[in-house]
Parts: sequence; C-alpha cells; structure tokens
Amino acid sequence: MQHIRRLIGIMVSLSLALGFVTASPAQAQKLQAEAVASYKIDAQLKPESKEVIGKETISYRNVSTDTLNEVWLHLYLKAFSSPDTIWMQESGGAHRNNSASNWGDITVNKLTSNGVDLLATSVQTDTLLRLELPQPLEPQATLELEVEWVSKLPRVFARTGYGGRDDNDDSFFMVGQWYPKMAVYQNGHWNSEPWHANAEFFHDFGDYEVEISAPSEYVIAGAGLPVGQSTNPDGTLRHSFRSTNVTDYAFAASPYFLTKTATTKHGTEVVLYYFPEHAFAVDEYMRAGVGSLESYSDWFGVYPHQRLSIIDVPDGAEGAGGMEYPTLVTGGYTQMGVVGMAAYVTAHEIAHQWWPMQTATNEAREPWLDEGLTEYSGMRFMMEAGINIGSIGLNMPAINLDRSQYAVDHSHPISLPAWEYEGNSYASIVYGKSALAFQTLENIVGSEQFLRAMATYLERYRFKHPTRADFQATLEEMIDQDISWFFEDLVDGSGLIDYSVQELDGGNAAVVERNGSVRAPVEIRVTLADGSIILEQWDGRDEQLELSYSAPISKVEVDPDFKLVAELDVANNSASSSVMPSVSLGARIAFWIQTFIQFVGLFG
Amino acid sequence: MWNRALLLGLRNSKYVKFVLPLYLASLLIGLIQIWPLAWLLDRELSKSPFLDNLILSDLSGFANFALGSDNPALMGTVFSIWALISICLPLVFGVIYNFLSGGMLSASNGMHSFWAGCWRYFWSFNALGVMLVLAALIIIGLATSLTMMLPTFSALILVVALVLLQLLNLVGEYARAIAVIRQRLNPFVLFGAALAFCARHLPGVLVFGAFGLLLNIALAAFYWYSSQALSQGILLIILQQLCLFAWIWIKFLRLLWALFYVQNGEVSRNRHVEAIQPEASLGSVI
Repeated sequence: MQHIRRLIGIMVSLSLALGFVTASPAQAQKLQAEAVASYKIDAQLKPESKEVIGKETISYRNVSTDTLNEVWLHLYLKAFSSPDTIWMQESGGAHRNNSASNWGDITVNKLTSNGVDLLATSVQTDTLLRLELPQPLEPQATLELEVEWVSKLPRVFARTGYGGRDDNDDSFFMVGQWYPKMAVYQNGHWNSEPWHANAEFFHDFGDYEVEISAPSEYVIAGAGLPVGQSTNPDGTLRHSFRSTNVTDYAFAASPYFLTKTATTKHGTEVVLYYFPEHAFAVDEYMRAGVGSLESYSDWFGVYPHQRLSIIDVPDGAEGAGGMEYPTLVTGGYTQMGVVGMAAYVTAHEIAHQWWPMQTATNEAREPWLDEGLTEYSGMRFMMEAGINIGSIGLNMPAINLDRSQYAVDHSHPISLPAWEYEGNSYASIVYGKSALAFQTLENIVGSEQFLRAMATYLERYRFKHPTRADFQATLEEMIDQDISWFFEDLVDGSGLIDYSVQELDGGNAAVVERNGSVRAPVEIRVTLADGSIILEQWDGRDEQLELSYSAPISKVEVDPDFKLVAELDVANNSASSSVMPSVSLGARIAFWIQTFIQFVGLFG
Repeated sequence: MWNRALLLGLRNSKYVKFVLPLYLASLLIGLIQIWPLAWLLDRELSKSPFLDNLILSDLSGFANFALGSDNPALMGTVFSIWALISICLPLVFGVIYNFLSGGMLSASNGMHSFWAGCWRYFWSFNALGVMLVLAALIIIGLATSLTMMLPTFSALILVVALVLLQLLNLVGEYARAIAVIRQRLNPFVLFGAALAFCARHLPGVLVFGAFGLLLNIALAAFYWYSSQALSQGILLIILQQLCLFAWIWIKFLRLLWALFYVQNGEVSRNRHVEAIQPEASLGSVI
C-alpha cells in the first residue's frame, strides 16, 4: 500500500513537473536561435551631454556558404545627423508630427579586428559603414570586431532620444538604434539598404551581454533579463542585462520610473515602467500587456523569453512611444478621456514580439509581413478582449480604425517595399489594408484553420529570415481552400473587394455583381416573400451571379455576416423590395433627435 | 401641504392637451431634421447592412456608413453639418419650452388661458432659461476642470455634477411656478425666490424631484426592455413616440407639483401672516 501511495505520489509529482515544464519559460528557453551576430556592450549613459559612450565586441559568424571579403555595419543615428540624409529627405524632417530639433549622431572612434584597424579603410554612406576585411571570412568562421563609439542622442524623435515629463524636463532617455550594428548577409549579398523614413530594421539573431552605467538615481529599463548591478568607482551604477535569441537591444532610463509587475499564465514576467502622472493608465497597460501576450502565445506559439518590459513614455517625449524591440516595447499612454489607445498601442507593439522578433523578415523590403501581421494581431486581440477605443460613451472597435485608415488610401498593393509608399499610403496599406486582408482571410477560411496555418509558419521560421514565398507556401499548404484571390488580388493587386446587389423588381430573380477586382468568395443570403431564407455561396470568379427562385424575392444580402471586413463600400450590399427600411430609419433618427432635444431642452 | 400638492399635481396632469403642443414641436423638429438626410437615405443608406447599429450609440455604425459610401468625403461633410445643426436644436426647443411652459402653468392654475400664459411669461422664462444654462455650463466647466486635475476622482466628480444639475433643474421648475403664482416676471427675483423656497421646503422639494427622476428612469427602462421585443417596424415607431410624449408629460407633472407646492406654501404663509396680523394690529393699537 505504501508502495502504491509512493508510486501515486511520484506520478503526481511527475505530472505536475511535466505540466510546469510545459507551461513555463523553461520550455521557451529551449527554443534556440542560431547565434549569428552577438554583442558584448559596455555603455555609459551621460544625461548631461545626452550621450551614450560605448564599447562593444561583435561576434559575427558567417552562416552563408560564401567567403566574405567585406562586412557592413548600420550606424542608424547617422539618419538624424543632417537634413541631407535619406531618412530626413524622405520624411521631410518630421515623424508622427514631431520635427527634428536637436540633431543626433553616432561617431565611431575605433574599429579593429584582431588588432587591425578597419576604420581607416572603411567607407561610410548615409547610415551604412562598409568595412574591408584584412582576411576573408570563410563559411562558418567567426569575425570579432572591437568597436568604440559615441552616440549623441537627439531630442526624442522617431522613437529614440531624450525628453521628459514636460518641455523643461529632459531626464527621460529612450535609447534605441544606438550602437554600431551588423547588417544581414543573405542570398549572396549584404543588405546594404540605408535607413528609410518608412522602413524599420532587418537583423540577425544573436545573444547580448549589456552593461549600462548611469547616475545612481536613474532606473534603467533594459531589454532582456536584469542579472545584477554594481557600483562603479565614480559612483554611477552599473546595470547588467542578458538577452538571448534576439535581433536587437534597447533600453530606457528615467529617475521617475515606477514599476508594476505581473506574470502571464505561461510564466512570463511582464514589467511596466510608468510615470506617476500616468498611474490611471496602469490597469489598461497591464490588461493589454498580459492579455495580448497570453493570446498571441495561444494563437501563434509561445513567447520565447522570460520577461517583457513595457515602457510608458512621458508627456514631453511622445515621439518615443509606439515602438518595438525584442523583449521591450514602448506604449502610448491614455489621453485624458480617451480610453483604449494605451491598450491598442501596447497590444500592437507586443504583437511585434512575434512578427518580426521571432520571424525576422526584412522589415523594409516586406513591411506587410511585419507591420501588417502585427496590426492584424493587435486588432484581433482588441476585438476578442472587447476593448473599444473612444470616450464619453462613444467608442469604436479597433477594426474601424483600420477601416478608416484603409479608406484614406486604398489604391496600392500590400506587398511593396516600404520606401515605395508615399504620404499616408504606408499607414493605409501596410497597416490598414494588411490587417483587414488577414482578418478577411481568417473569416473566410475559419479561425481554426487560419490560426493553425499561422502557428505552422511561426514554428517553421522561428528565429529565421522568412520571406513572402515562405509565408505564402505555408498558408497555401495549411489551408484547404483556394486562396489565390488573397495573394494575387489583395496582396499584389491594387483593386478592391466590392460586391453589390442590383435593385429588386419584386420578381423571382436577382443579380449580384462583383465590382471590385478582388475575387473573394462570398456568402449571399436571400429572403423569399414566403419567409424562407436561402444561403448561397459564390466564389466570386465571374463578374456577375444571377439568382432565380420559385417564389418572389423580398431581400438579398451579400456578405450578411460581414466576413469581408476589407470591403469598404458595403452600402450597396443588400437590396430589398420593401420601402420600410428607409421609413423606419427616418423615424428612428427622428426619435433620437427628439430624445436629445427633449433631454437637453427641457432643462429648468 | 405636500400631500395636497402631490394630489393636485396628479389630478391636473390628466389635461394632456397642455402637453400636446410641446410634443408636436418636438416631433416637428425631429422630422424637419431628417430632411437633409433624406436624399442620402434614398440613395444608399437604407440599403446598408449597418442600419441597425447606426442608431446605437456606437461610432462604428457612423464609420461604416461613411466608409460604405461612394463618396466618403461628401458623406462626412453632410453628416458633420447635420450634427452641427442637431447640436443647436436643443436651444430652439428650449425657446419653445420657455414659451409653452408659461401656458401650461397658467392654464393649470386657472390664472390665464393657455396661449395668454404663453405670451405673458415668454421673455421672462427665456431670460430665466439663459441664467439656468449659464449656471449649468459653470457646473459642467468646473466638473471638467476638476476631472482633469484629479482624474482619480472623476467618477465622484461626475456624480456630484449630475446631482447639482438636477438641483438646478428643480430650482428652474420652482422659479417658473413662482412666476405664475406670484405674478412676478423679473428672472433674478424668480431665481432668488426659487432658491429661497427650495431651501425652506427642502425635504418636500427633494422628494418631488426624486419622484420625477424615478418616473424618468422607469420610462427609460420601460423603453429599453420593450424596444428589445420590437426590433423594427411600425410598432417600434409608435412605442418611441409614446415614450417621447410620456417624457414631456413627466416634465408637465414635475411643473405641476412645483406649482401646487408653491401655491400651498403661499396659502399657508398667508394664513400664518393672517394669524399673526391681529397681534401686530393689537400691538400697534396698544
């Protein structure tokens, strides 16, 4: 009996242990990226001069089959060094209504490999530095670069720099795109595209050991895991962080940060760094932070890190908000009276922890696989969590933000490189149209099948550099329907989803037309005069569908469940032989006007 | 005195003919206001699958309508102009209420005919209305500023502001009643007298105010539940108009309660004055 009890005890313990391992970050840590570009960084934050003085050792492994004679580094802060850079020219010197004021820059003072100076022969163009190697780098060989540099931070601009809680405060630092960083060698050439205004980044995976020294009153919110701190001889504090299987590193610093911590059901620690004046937004941040992390893990695959930091940005540094780095995101605080925005921005940035932080696509060349998938994921979370955006009782679901955005400009394909979009079209298409396109696809093929396909895509290409071809092949394989309309018409096409119903004449026939060039499958609900309802399926391949029944038709509705969320013109999607709807609508509008005037006008 | 006012108010509220002009004015404004939308209704709105959620207090309905149009910019402009006009309509209705409430009160009191009462108090009630609106705007402004300064107490500030607005509403009703009973027209005097009366008879005034509010809430709840059963069609339209009529009737009842409460208060005050008058006379004689 005792043996049996012991056996049961062991089995229970094993089950619990197994359950723990399954749900804990330990499993996540088993997901290992192939380390290509790893960094050991020792940085000093100098708040008075707004500089970061750094030393780093870059270990770059040549994982290609080519012998490399040169390597390329990104010097992103060069983008803000003069009005003549490509970034500044393309952006017109402004980003999200913030104009560049104090210029930023990065100066490399020393760059060696095995003691050989590479700086003297290097060539800098815009934000790129080309280095000729003294010795060819053979496949699978590792190159070590020793770099010393100074980053001069701009007043917060395009998500990096310094700012504060008001215009007179400059104690907050968002330190991103701040160190010399390896470019990606892929398909036989270096990705030597300079930093474009619309574009973001493309990096290899690696491990980071980062030491950040700062005045002792500063709280350092660093990506990855904090692993300790010590005091430097000059009295500053040295904060140590480790971040593995990631493509980048960033940190924020402020003397005023407060923190709030929670743990997801999968065991990930979520830490919010916020400012006292934004305490009212903490619950919203945490709801979105924990909720979205759990949802994305359930939908797509586990979050592979132990910690996620959310940075609330102060009022005087709004330009630092809404940005993503591996294991660290910056949020957008709740404007007074407008709820849901902090959740929306946070959920969006956290979705980036999947796209592209795990599937490191080229964000500049194929932004829809980054921002598009992310916007879709964030919107999906907001819809499922029931978090609307608005105030004083008037609010809208997140999907309407995307519909509004898409309505502004809907005349481009989704699949263009970032730099080919002009004006508002980048936001309209890459964010809005992409998100609506993915949601439309999900609605048509079913959530279960679509999410399984997305999870497979992540599983196959986690910690790799997938392209559109990989994504498309996975979806086409995993979805048992013809989805060529999605890629050919919606992703690569400039046309619209647009269906309409011709006026009914009270007879037994009706005509449904496809006015847009996107041949999306659609449902049609027909109500006959005898009250019976018939649901038709149309593949949308032809330009017209004629319907005929044995009884008179009283109503025809195209896409009655509004699955085609990417269709903008839905006003012509139904036709009725009854005049009652317009009378009813008129009477109902009159009712609400009367209610309003009586409620307000009968005062006193 | 309070019981008598309650009963007299209820008894006189059966004269719904005094409510009818105000209701018809409301209906007229409602119908006129949908004319600018008529061509849009005919053109495309009535075909939209978002008919149902347009009417809900949810921006998605409006957004979908605008997005669903062939010409979202034109649609947006039409809606914006329409919304702007709609915001001004309560002022128009407020003026009509100022006109008709004089008639409702004087006719109920038997002082003047309905229309004579309307004209007699029109300018006085308009001036009173302006004072009330200004006072309400001050309360709203203060509440908004306090909410911005103390966001953690926003719920409490909102509740306090709503209570103050309700009290201001009550003061306005008593000011109108006092105008008719005492035949006074100066809005400042009316406002001051109403404040004094409400302070003197605070429990009774608050109970009448609470009764009125409860009737409003009951009506709103009745509409909410009954409209669920009548999702569309002519029955819903009839229900809506009946509820709007009932809303005005409740206002009429509140005014009547104020009228008879003030009237009874005057009577008891006069009795009290009469009761002490002989002593005074005696004193003067002595």
